[in-house]
Amino acid sequence: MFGYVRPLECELRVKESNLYRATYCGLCRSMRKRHGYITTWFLQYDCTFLSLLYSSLCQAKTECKPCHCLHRAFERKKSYAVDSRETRFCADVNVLLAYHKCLDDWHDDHSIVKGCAALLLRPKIKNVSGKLKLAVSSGLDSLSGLEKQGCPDCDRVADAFASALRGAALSADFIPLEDCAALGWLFYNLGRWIYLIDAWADREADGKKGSYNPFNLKEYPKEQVEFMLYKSLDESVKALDLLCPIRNEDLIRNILVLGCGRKTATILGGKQDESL
Amino acid sequence: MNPYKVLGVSENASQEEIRKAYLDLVKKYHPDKYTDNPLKELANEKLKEINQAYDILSRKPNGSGSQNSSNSGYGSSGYGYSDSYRKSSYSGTYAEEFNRARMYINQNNLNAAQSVLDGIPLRNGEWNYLYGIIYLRRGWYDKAREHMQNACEQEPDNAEYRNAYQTLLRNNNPFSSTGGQTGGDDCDMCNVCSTLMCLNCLCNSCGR
Repeated sequence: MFGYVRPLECELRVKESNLYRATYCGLCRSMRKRHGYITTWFLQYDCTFLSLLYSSLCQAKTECKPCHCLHRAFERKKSYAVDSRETRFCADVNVLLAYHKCLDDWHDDHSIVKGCAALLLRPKIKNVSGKLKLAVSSGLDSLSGLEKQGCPDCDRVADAFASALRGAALSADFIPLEDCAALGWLFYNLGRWIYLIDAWADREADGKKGSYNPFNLKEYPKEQVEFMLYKSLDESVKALDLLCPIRNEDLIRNILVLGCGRKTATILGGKQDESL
Repeated sequence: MNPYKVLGVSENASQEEIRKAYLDLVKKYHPDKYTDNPLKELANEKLKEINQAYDILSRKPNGSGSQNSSNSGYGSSGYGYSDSYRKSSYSGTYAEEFNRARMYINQNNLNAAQSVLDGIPLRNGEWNYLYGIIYLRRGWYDKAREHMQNACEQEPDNAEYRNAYQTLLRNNNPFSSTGGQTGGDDCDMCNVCSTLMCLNCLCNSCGR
């Protein structure tokens, strides 16, 4: 379900690309420091976006330092965003979402790998704040309830997932009060987009496996899906407009408008993936 | 409030630059973009702030164009948000209930509006339209579209329903126009050019 929220790299300036990488590496290091090395295998692009947005919103400057990467030990030093409350929070969100995802896959397909991953992640969840845990699990529990019932209404299931994401994003205690409404709407709509695009991309695979997918239960014309996806993205961009001016606006806008927009176009066009 | 910061211009910006920044921001927070949006109030606040900032800066005896731009219509009153569901033009059965539902929607009390609508057995254009707005504000776009469409089909002559439906569909795909296709795969002009170049090469080689 994750990994859709990424920049369109060919449209990035060099400094933006460097900042994105530094944010990614910074999140990875925060996860390692806070939850142990294993959790870095579950690093997600979506949480990198969250980290980027929150550090742009709440920090006066993203402080970066050069450092060696464990995964690429023989390469030269890469710069990473130093550990901060924003990266620590995003590390928590990442671990929590990864845990729920693995658990969900274990329940759905009884995949041994995912089961083991969930077991590995389970003890890490203890460090996560109760507020965040509650926000995520209440949304995802209602989602799995709906999936079990075989709910054919994609608005309703997308709502459950989106509420989980909104709850997660808003459970940070450092975001300015006046930005809560816009952030909530941004992540709610982004959550809808993530759920729907994932469901649309996986509908054939899910059909073969017999797993739940709202698009297999009811006939949705492609135009209708297109409308839902673009509308959700459009609304999250409108919410971003209300947060502005913030730092790194161009990079954040690149991810939401170009990155996600292109992803929508390629997935609706039936192509698997793209880099340019 | 620092008006320069609000408009995002430097302190020695010319009147022209200020005006351009102002117009860009007005476009960004334009009321049309935020109708039926839960962030309407917030956008309204932003716009007010921008109008105020522009008012201050355009009145400042700084450039020669100062008197001229404060009178140009955006200044004191500026762009603002009007209440989009003031009173319904609807006067059929259950008019009172429908008005109450509209009032709740105005106050952004969506649950109350929904329970009023659920109590009305009539499924006419007005019912579908109001239900569509509730769904739209919640972010349930598929349902919103469906209800708006129903409303328009039931009462094709109602301008309010038709406008709302068209706005909903029009807002839908800004991504292809804002550069979503840059560097894309179906760039027709590029294909035409490269084809011409290939033909040119072929012709050259045949000619010799």
